Amino acid sequence: MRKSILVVTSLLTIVVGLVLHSCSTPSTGEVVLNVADKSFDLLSKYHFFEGTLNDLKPNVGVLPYDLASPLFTDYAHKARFVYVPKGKQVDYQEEGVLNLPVGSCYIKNFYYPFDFRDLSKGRRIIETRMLVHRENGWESLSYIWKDDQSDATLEVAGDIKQVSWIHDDGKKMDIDYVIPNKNQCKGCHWDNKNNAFMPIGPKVRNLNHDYAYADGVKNQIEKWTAMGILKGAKPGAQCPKMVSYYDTTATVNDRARAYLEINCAHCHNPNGPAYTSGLYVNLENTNPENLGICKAPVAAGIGTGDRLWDIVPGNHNASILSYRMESVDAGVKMPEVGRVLAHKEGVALINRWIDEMKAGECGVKQ
Amino acid sequence: MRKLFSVFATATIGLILFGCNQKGASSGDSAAFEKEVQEKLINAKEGEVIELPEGTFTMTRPLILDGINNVTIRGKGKDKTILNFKGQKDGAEGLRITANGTILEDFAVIDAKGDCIKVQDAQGITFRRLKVGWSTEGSTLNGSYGLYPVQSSNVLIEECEVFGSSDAGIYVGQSKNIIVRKNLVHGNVAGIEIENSMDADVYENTSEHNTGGVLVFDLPDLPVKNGARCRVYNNKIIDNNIKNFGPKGTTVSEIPAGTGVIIMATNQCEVFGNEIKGHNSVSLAVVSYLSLQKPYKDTVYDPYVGGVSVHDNQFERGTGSLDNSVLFGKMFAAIFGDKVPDIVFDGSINPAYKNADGSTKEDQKVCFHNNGNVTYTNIDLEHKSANMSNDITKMDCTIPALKEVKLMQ
Repeated sequence: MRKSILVVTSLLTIVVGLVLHSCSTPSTGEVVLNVADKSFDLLSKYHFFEGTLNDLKPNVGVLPYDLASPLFTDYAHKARFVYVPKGKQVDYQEEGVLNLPVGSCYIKNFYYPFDFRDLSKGRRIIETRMLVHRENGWESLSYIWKDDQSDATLEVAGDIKQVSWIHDDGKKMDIDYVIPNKNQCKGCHWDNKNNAFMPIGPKVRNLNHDYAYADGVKNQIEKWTAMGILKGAKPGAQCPKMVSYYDTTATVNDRARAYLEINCAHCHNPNGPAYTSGLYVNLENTNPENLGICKAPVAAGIGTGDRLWDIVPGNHNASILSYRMESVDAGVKMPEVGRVLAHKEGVALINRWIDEMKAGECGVKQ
Repeated sequence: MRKLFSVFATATIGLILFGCNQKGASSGDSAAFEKEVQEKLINAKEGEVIELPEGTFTMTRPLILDGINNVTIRGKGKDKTILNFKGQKDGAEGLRITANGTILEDFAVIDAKGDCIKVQDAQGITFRRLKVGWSTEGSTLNGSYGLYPVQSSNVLIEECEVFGSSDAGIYVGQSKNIIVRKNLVHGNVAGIEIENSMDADVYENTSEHNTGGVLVFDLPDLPVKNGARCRVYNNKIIDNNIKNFGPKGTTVSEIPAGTGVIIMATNQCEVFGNEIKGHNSVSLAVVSYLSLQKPYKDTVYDPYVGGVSVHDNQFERGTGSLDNSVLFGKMFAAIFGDKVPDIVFDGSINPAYKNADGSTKEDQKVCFHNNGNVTYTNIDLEHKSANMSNDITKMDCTIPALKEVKLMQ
């Protein structure tokens, strides 16, 4: 009998211990990111956030940022942060992605407010993706949040999570949200020119706008400079600036090119994973054929949707680009990774862009 | 107390059982298998052999191997280890490989959403005894390519079975140093296609009951172009008469049902020792890209064939009639009506390949030699068929044989 009491007590201890362990504990102390070490199994261990983890309140040295034109990921909201070790900085560069020093990290949290119309109703964080700059290059890590939102666990194989929310229009949405596996990250993040894994979004032109920091609104380039992260930058007004594709005061062409740049060009550029297609929609490309105008598809297969050209000027209904953006079929849709829904607003923008081009026939009539 | 203990015991055992039950269900098996294999591929060591067990596994996401060299993925046999991607939720391929020296052998990949196996930027890739394809016959919704190495070198594809592709079953694109041998391809739009590639040996394959048997193409507007040096020999290319179910916009959707071999725009190509039999539209065509009538702006692209030698093949045409529902078929129908000769040449020669007297330079000739009693027409595409010729003896010539492809492993 006494023995069984002992057993029960120890069982209780284990159970209580387990429960306590899985409960959210406020993180304390400075950011812990030693890039020579193995990655932590839990997101909380980095101390990127202070207080309750899922409040995502940045710790000292962790700076929130956003992008003028973001990648569409099934309408997920994203809370982005950057961490640069004390005393280190990155040189200003007009073109290309800011290559932060070794020891730095981009932290991107993907979440869904329960009700897009009323953010005060709370949210569910699905995953936190990190890009860590190690001695031998950038590494991608994905932490998947527990259902109780107490912490997030490192996962290499990705996952599929059922997610639901009330959309802007009041409609209830239910999707199978796909968390990419570690190898899929490279599908977008690989740069053949540098033969290296690279961040995508944080280019000067995509950061060069105001952000509402806790201590006031400031241009991000100027803030990064003031923080000592960025060296040699000109004032924001003199730096290149990309439009937000949501900004209806910008031209349709600028908005469409910004959209393609951030949603497609990470693969579709001369050095990206989709270079074999010959379709390059990066902002720098000025060759209309490589941009897709009257360009025949190469290995699109069923992705053509029985259409003959990537872009038929003046006619989005005849353009493969529109077809693949509208599709949610895994064998047809573009981008291949990162969405199970079509981006209605993005599709509408690209369709308008194509329809406003000077109409013309591509090649022979069939 | 005893009671309390048993509650704990029950709860604990229940938890354990619950965990087991989850794994015991067949879908759970597949889910666990999928995660386990993907983790193995991510954490693999260079040179590791990853064994796949016997069984049919329902896959929801692509399996990806990246950056780890000389990994072997080996099943228990192409009819025993089956990765079924029907209902795939994510990703455009069944398997995607971006690593050097990978060996894939003895398993099946069925019904992937896009391509069954895509390999990109690999130095060294072996596909061996794989069964790959789509279970719905002749559906435009089938994926594009069964086996799809692109921008790769030292490519070996042997003893595989590939079926049901809505584009090409075996498709080698923009690659170098290639051997495709002893495969069985059937029920695809194109059986085997070698595109914008250098140094390919395609031999002892059976390509039957596709829309087109073997295609060697060179297309514009691609990073790697001006494909060259291809030998297609000792293949059985038989009865490729199934209706073209390729999505419009793809090049292969222009191929009429009943096509044996098409050599388009490529240079240095030798076709010999093949049985090319039972085709209702055209047994063999040698054409320029201009015959497709698609405009292009690529200034370094050479749209012409050159140095093509077709010799010592056995031809026997099919008993059916020409498929005039697609571009190439329409073009033939306009010239020939219902019956197309066994061999068609579009007559286009790159002006840069011509000598001052108008003859073609030795190494850029197009030769048809010792192919038995065949019918032939040069359709003189350049002059809109003004000077067509049926005299194959004018084309009876030889070109020095190409060298055997040797793979570097």
